Amino acid sequence: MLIETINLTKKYIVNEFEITALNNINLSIKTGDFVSIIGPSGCGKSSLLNILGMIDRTSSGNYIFDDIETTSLNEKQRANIRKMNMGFVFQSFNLIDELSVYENIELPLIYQKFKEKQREERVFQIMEKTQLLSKKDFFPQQLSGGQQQRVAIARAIISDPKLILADEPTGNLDSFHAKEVMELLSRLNENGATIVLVTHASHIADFAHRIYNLFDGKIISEKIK
Amino acid sequence: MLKTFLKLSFRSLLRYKEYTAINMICLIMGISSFLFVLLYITDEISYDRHFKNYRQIYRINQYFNVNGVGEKAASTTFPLGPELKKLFENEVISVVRVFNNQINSRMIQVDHKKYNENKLFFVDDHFFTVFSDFEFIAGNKDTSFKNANSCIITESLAKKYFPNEEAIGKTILYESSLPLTITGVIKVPPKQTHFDFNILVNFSTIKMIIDYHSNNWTWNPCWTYLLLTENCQPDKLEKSIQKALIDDRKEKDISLENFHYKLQPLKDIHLKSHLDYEITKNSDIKNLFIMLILGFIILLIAGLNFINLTISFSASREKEIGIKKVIGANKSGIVYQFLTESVILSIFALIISLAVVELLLPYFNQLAEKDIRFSNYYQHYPIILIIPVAILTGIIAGTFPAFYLARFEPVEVLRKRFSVKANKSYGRKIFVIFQLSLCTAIFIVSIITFRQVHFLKTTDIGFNKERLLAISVYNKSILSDPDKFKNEILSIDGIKSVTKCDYLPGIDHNTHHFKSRRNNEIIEHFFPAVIVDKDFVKTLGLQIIEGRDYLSDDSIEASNCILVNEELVKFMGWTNKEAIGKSFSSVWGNEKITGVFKNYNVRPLYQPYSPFILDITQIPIDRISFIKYFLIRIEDQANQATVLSKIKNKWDEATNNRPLESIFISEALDMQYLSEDRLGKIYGILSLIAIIIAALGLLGLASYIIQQKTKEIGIRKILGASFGNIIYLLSKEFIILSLLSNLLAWPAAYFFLKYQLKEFAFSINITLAPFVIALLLTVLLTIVITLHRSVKIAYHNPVKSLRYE
Repeated sequence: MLIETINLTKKYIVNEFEITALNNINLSIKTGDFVSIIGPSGCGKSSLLNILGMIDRTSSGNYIFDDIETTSLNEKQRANIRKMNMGFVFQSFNLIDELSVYENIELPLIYQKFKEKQREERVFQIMEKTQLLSKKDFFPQQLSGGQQQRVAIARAIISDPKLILADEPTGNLDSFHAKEVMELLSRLNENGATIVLVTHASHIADFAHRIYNLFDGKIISEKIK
Repeated sequence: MLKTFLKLSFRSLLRYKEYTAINMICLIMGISSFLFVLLYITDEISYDRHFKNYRQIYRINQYFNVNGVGEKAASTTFPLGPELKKLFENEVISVVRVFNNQINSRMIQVDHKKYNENKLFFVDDHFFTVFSDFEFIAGNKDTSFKNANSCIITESLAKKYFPNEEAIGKTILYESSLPLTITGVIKVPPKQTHFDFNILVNFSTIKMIIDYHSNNWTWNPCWTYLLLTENCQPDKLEKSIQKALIDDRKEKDISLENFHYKLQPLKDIHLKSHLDYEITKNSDIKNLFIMLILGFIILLIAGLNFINLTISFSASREKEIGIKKVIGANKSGIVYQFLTESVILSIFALIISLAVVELLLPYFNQLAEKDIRFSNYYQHYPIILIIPVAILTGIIAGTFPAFYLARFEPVEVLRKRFSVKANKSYGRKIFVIFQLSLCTAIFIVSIITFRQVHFLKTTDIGFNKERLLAISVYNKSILSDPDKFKNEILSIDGIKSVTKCDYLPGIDHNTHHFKSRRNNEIIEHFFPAVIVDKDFVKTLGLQIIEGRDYLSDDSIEASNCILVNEELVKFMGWTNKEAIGKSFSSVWGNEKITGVFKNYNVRPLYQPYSPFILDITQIPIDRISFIKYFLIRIEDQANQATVLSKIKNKWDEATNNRPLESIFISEALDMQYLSEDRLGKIYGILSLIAIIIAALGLLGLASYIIQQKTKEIGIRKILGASFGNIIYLLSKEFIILSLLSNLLAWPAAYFFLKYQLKEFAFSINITLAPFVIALLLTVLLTIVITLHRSVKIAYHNPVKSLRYE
């Protein structure tokens, strides 16, 4: 099992009020799964994704990633696991405007201290896979939304992560580019990538093999395709 | 990784142009100002250190003090130097005496051309043993100076006198009568010396000019320098000198009571010596400390700007930092990246600053009256050193913001809950308050320094200094019959009165030895005094408050009386009435007090009033040789230029066209405060730079904070806020910061000024006005800056503001 959560709960204090974003979530995700988490705005989808991505911590419960109990790890250890094993795709792409397409994709490898030649090889490989070779020297502001998201996906998969986490990856795209991005993610899954995707759109969620329905911080249903 | 960081840094800097431009300008101004301060200070502390032996060269000074009145003289007697060489041959390698007859300028005639030279000195022939390192272009230091009537001149003077031929071997005339042979020409010495000369005449020539007594232990007109052995201990030697020359002889000569010799290191003269009869007016090391502090303050203000602007603008980069952390950057990577940016900025700023300094150096030299060459420093400090300096500067300035930014948590960024709280950052507000308070304090100090300089130049010094012309008359043509020339001058229309004196009023004086008797006991006095004639009081407009002025006739009584000031009367424990008729004895006989005059400032205003005597010189005739100046009072309604021209004509007739040296007393007095004037201007410029840097920083900060409030302003406008409401909202915070900064600045400025003004016996009172002006200025500055940025937003269509958000 790649991911397992046991009674995972997340609470926030906002202006002295306690809000329970996630309430006793129990999840199991195997390597190679393509999982969607669907729900309306404010149901806790992004909070769950952030915890699975070790960007945020649980309030209680357990999160086991690749047989490692993560709740007791310190920030440095969590950052290391994240760096080595996970790739992120965001709704607003979150590319760095001062870096070109090539440089944006290359960045995770720099942080993992890959040598220049190795980086070059992998980046060109990924750019080919994501059909970005012709945009190598472009800057994000010169690309369409769909192209930017492809760059974000390329960056997410450059270090061959065990897990890809996508938070509303098509939220800022029109239907044509949204379909393009989802097909790319599906192809990646077919090649063995484990994907957890969060969305509020059912037609996007349908690309996954397993769909969790989240409402008010609880998993209310699970659909297997 | 470094390559990526460098790429990213350059592009970020180019992207955030306003932030980069403001930061660069502030850093350049701060670094350039600091470099100028460093250059000035380096130049000042280098004085006299170009002599190889400077550590072993000492000047001997003589002090005496009788009940608080006396002299701390940089000059000593003729026999002292040779006597020290004789008595302490194991400690003293060589001695050199320097003498200029206590006259600033002498006439040199080259063929038919006549020049007034004010850098002529008579020196012992061991001069080049003590002060080695002069480069001879012609002649040599071992043989050129052996004979009487020999002289050595500088290259520039040689070119002036003999533009088309060699100067060596040529003859020039001293005072049109005494031939001097040029036996050596030296390269122009560095300006960084307390002793600036262009002609050195062999000491033995003095006998041909004055009535020289090698054993005269009373008159102290020459500066005496000793070259000591390497292992000589100056403290011990000083004590030995005191014992041998004073302590062992006190019983025989009562005048030696309270007499001390002091050894002063050569390197200390320029910055630490403010004795009577200095060769030239020296600088003050205290001013260097103040300038260094000012320089650091400006650098600090620029650095604080950098920190504040970087942190404020970081909110635009929160996304970038959050993403990097998500995709694998650790804290040190983020720190490293921001440090790289700040190092790049500081390298560029430093390089541009060096260019700015090089460009502006001629103007700075003019302002500071220096001859600093930046290239001199390149020889000692390789230019490559600026790289580590720039890196260090970047690291120091960038460390705090880098660590601050690196702590952004990705989850907060991604949830968009994070923002650099523009309106709640106490740290940045403290920086702004600190910056503004430094600027305000410097500004207050500058205003009061200017006012003090103005006070020094304009305050009533006890005599009328306007339209009072001094001409130098120490030459045979005039002094053979001074009254004849005086009458010639008096015959000119527009001349009110003329008098003679040996020192210029308000500038300098001598010290005369007097004795009085009390209960059959002889009491020694050394009173400051000038030798004058009967028209001195009238010409200067002094006020006689008891007794009478000098008699106008030539009777014996007229020549044997003295006038004393209130301070002397108080010192002697008399009343003004009691003083009249009292007498002192001096080398010229018994001198009776016939009048008491109101105190006037006999020296620049650093010195308080002290006992003072006006000593008439009419008879005996041998006192005439003391006369150096005529003081000429020009009528108020007379045309000054016409009168000056007529004086020149009379002079030319009387002296056979000798160059006339004249100066108005008001100008001469102003020149006493040149260094204060200069420093005041430098402080003023530095304070202006500090204010500009702080204002630019405030501008950047205001821009950013106001932009952050765009949404809030849009909402307020929709809810009914007026233009005035918006402006008030945006500027209120900055106005409070500027008011708080004044709270810090006022006491700091006050205590500093109290300390500064203590060096003047006469100074202005520190009033509230400059403080209030500074307060109003800082508030006005903040209002103008925030208004400049707020107006656009205040007029903005609120819908656009919300859409922007």
